[in-house]
Amino acid sequence: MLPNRKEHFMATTSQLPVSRLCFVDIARIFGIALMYYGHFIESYMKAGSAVAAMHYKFIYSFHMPLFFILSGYIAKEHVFNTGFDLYLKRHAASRLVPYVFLSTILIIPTFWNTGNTVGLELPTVEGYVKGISATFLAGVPYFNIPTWFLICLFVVEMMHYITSRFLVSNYRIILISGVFYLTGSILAWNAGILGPINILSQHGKIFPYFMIVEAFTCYSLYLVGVCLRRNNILVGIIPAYKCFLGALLCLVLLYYTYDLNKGMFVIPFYDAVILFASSHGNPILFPLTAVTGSVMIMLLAKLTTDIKVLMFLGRNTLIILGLNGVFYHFINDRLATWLLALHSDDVMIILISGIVIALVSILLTIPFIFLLHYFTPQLVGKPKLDGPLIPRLVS
Amino acid sequence: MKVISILFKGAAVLLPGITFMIYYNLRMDVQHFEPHIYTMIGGKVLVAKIKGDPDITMDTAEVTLYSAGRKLKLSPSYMSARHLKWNQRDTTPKQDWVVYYSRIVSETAIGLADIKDTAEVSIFYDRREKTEIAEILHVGRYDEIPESLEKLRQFIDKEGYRLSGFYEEVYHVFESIEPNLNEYETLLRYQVDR
Repeated sequence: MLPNRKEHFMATTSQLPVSRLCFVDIARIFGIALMYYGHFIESYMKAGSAVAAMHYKFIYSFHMPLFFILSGYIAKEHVFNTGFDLYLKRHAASRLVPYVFLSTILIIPTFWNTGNTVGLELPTVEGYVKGISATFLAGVPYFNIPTWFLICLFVVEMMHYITSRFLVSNYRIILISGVFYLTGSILAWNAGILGPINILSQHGKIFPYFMIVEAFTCYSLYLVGVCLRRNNILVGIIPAYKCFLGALLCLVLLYYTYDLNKGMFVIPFYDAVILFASSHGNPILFPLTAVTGSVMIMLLAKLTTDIKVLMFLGRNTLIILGLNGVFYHFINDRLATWLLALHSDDVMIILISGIVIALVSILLTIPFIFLLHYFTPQLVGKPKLDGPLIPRLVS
Repeated sequence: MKVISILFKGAAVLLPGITFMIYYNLRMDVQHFEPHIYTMIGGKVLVAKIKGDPDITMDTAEVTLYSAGRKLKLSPSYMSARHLKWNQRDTTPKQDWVVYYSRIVSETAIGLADIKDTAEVSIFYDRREKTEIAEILHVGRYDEIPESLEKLRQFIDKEGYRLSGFYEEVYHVFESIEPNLNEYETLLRYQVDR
């Protein structure tokens, strides 16, 4: 008999076998695939495709929240038992070091290909001064936009360190999640000066943004993941037909709700949820679609846990996420403009070309997964490993 | 002692960064009011085309675009007024000016619901391409705009560019939100090329 409610709650939920959470890796790679698709579709949208804009809106209603929910789902318990120094060091090594590395390597191609870097006049000294200082002093990854997630996750994990000792019951988790969500929403609407997109304007100023405003909202999503895991939701074996029906139900709900969220976005030309810009739209519909879509992907992942390729890719999502910057900044816009001129906004062609290009792009990252893991694992989220070039960063 | 040492080390690391940020931001404050040339990204706009004296048509445009925005559930955005020819201000009597008032919309905005043209206003969607523009921020009354335009044209000449297309005003701070005329903020833009 456990002595109290807190210990019982923690003990029954925190020591689940790792093998039971394989589906999280699968869900992550599904999320990454959606990100690749969404970023390519964004280029179609910028080239003037209304069809692509709807696909974009659908995917963006849940694909980034999914990553935060999954991060919360696999978050370690009792983090407050670790000393803050060590916690900070570990997370800086596994989040900030890859951020710096992946941002830095994408500066190099801008010397001969200026790519898609909104608000930067490249290649000029002024442009590089702004881009580099924004990346390293303000935590706004100008040269590799997708890596904003790493900065935000780092801040979210610091928030988790502070609050984790209070997360002793479902009631508390929901309450704290609600408080963070409310704070995040208020800040998103009323503290525009703290938002990183300020930098993007011609005379944008550089402050240490580090996605702090958005981290409040993202931490509330992270706690959704913590809550699901603490209550063993989706942990055990679920019959395939139940997963399928559940995912289908989520899809139907998502389909009928995602486009209701309109008219309240911060960026007028992107009618979609964009966490990077703290643009959530309707404060009720946003979390509804975010959680529904995330559960849908998690259920689909439960159906496919036996596929080894997905497992491999799912365990290397950080590299695949970081390398998306290459396609996002240097390839997608030109390719989408060229393709759109050929087929003029046909639904099926947009869908099929988007899927094919997303999959090919992911496949192209595989050699780099092996290379980076072999030579510099410490720079891509494995700071505890020794490598041929750099020793381990943390013990 | 250990804490003090950590604080000193932290300050030594952060100080150059903070100093740079302060310097950079002060410079941006100054440059904010200076003319500059850059490439403006393209996008979709909802346009209300109106002929007439802008002292009168601007109010009509504001109400039209605001109402359309509510009806079509568009996210908030600034209103701009574009003259297709940069010299319309100087060559055409005010009552004959044709001005394309617009607001940025997303690509998902496709229909106009039951919004119809009137005798004075025609409303439609348009796409604007990536364009090289010269821009200056004008702070103050609208009747002082010509002085800022003169400064902008001098800058364009000095940089070796020439006026090549439209003239546009973007209303950031205007009468609906600011009672003091001297506090109005308007971006003035010319399309340019070399």
